[in-house]
Amino acid sequence: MRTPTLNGASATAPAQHGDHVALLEARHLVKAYGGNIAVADVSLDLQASQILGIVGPNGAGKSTVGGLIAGSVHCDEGEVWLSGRRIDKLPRWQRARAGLSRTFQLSSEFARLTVMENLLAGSELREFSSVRYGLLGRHRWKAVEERQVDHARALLHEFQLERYENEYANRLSGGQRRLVEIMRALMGQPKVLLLDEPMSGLNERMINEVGTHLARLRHEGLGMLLIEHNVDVVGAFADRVMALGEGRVLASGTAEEVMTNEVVMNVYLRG
Amino acid sequence: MSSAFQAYLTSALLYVLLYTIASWGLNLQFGAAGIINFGFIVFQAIGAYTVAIFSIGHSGLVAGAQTAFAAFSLPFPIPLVLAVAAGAAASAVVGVVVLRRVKRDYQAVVLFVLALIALYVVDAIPGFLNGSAGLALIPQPLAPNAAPGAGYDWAFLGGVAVLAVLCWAFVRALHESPYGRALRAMRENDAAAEALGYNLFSLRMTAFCVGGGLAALTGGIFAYFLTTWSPAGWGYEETFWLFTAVIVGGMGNLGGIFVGALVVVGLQQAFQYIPSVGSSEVGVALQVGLAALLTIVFLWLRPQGILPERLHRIYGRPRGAIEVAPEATEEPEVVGAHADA
Repeated sequence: MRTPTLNGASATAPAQHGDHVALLEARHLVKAYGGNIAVADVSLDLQASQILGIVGPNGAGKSTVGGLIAGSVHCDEGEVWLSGRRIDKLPRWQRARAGLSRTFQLSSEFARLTVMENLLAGSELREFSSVRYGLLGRHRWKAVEERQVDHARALLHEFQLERYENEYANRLSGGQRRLVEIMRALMGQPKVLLLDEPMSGLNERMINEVGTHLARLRHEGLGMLLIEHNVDVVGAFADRVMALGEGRVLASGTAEEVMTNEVVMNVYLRG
Repeated sequence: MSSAFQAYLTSALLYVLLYTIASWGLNLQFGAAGIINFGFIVFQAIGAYTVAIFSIGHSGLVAGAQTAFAAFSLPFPIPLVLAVAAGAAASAVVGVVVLRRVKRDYQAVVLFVLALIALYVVDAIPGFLNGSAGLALIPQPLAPNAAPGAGYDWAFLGGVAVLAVLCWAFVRALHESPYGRALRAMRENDAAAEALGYNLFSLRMTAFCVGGGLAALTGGIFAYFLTTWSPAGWGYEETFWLFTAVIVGGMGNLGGIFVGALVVVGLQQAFQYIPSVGSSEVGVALQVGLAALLTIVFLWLRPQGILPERLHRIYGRPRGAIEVAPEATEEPEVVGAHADA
């Protein structure tokens, strides 16, 4: 069994680093819209406690790669593996239940739900979201809800948003809503968190605040895929960086290696 | 109180209760799950015809010189239970096609067209459900005779009031559960809800079926109370009256929807005292136009309705003073040093 590497050749099993199966692996992803190729043979892998940044100018295919991994965009070719399980044939909701959570490029908080309800919606209470439990299973979900409320309050405390617990999410600032989205994704205790431009529209203070939280989550073992337009943001927070251009991988490595790559610099200067 | 006034009063109150129950069903679909069901009235009609078919019997068909594809004479409440089952089952069939394959805005169009097709089919095929004349002589449940009088009407109303309380408890339990929260999350942002692991099709289907079942329940009760049911009673405009009740009363607020139903039935009753202008069609057009105008005014000036959807606080924890930070609009600049753990 061959062991694939970043951008490596195809293999029949997930990438392994030492004794560890890659937390997330995407192999040879291809997506075309008509004759327009959006993603061409992109492969990547992500380990636990790691932030992999994906950068590129507008139209580079960053969000499409994110969509292919999360399931919002269907792959023409390629495979996606999560903790040794192939997930590219699964619908979006099953990928999420398998442990792949995501945030969106545009704010996607549930506006007319309170902050606490936003967080509970992301928790394991989703397993009880059926008519049967709604009518007959209160004794079963109520205990779980109490635990999840405690968990949510702990998260709100960590993110310093506890005072907004019972406010509608749309009454928070843009940065606070971003944090609510991240907390909501974390409530499901994912293995991998896909962050699609989480810093867009934020000021420098909020970017650093979000970044500090991401660093803490990495320390706690979470693997994160950070899709960003802003190379400085990715350079500051990611462990490894992959640069895309016109749907292809231009370079990958450390932030410094990628940002000093001549091809990448040319693409950014053109963009 | 004269018997005529008692009959009027019980009838008006019954309409309020049935509009309320039906609107709770519509609210579950529209207010909670975000499904715009412009064919809602069809499921009420399914309930009414089911009660008629399963209670009228062959003797009823013969006595009324009417035709139907089938007729049984089952005792109350079996026809009503079958009506709810038929409404939910029909919703499941329609839902498989509409909710899986068609996107949200187009769902509204497809369901509206479905309502028109159903109406025209029933109207055009007399042997199916007696065409435009409809089915009459539907026996009232537990009635001592064909004209049981005011006492029976009050008892009937009392029974429906008890049923309305049970329906309120039923819908409220769903609203307050993780299922209700999931529906509201899906309403707010379906892509985000799916990304959290919610099966959107399953959520929509169940809301659609429960709403269809409630619609059928009210249709069945209407058929029992009126003892007749025909296409004239379930035109597409009836769906818009229910939407008016939901929007005016307050989408997502069960008490508000009761208020909305009061407003709608009050308006319908008020029209009876306005001198008729032109033909009866003009009167109906004016009524529907007023309902539409009222809906537009509320959507424009008070979209949350008379009683807005309430804030779902968890465990009633004290509400903190809100300090909304200013929106960050400036483009981020160079970020500081690597924020390592």
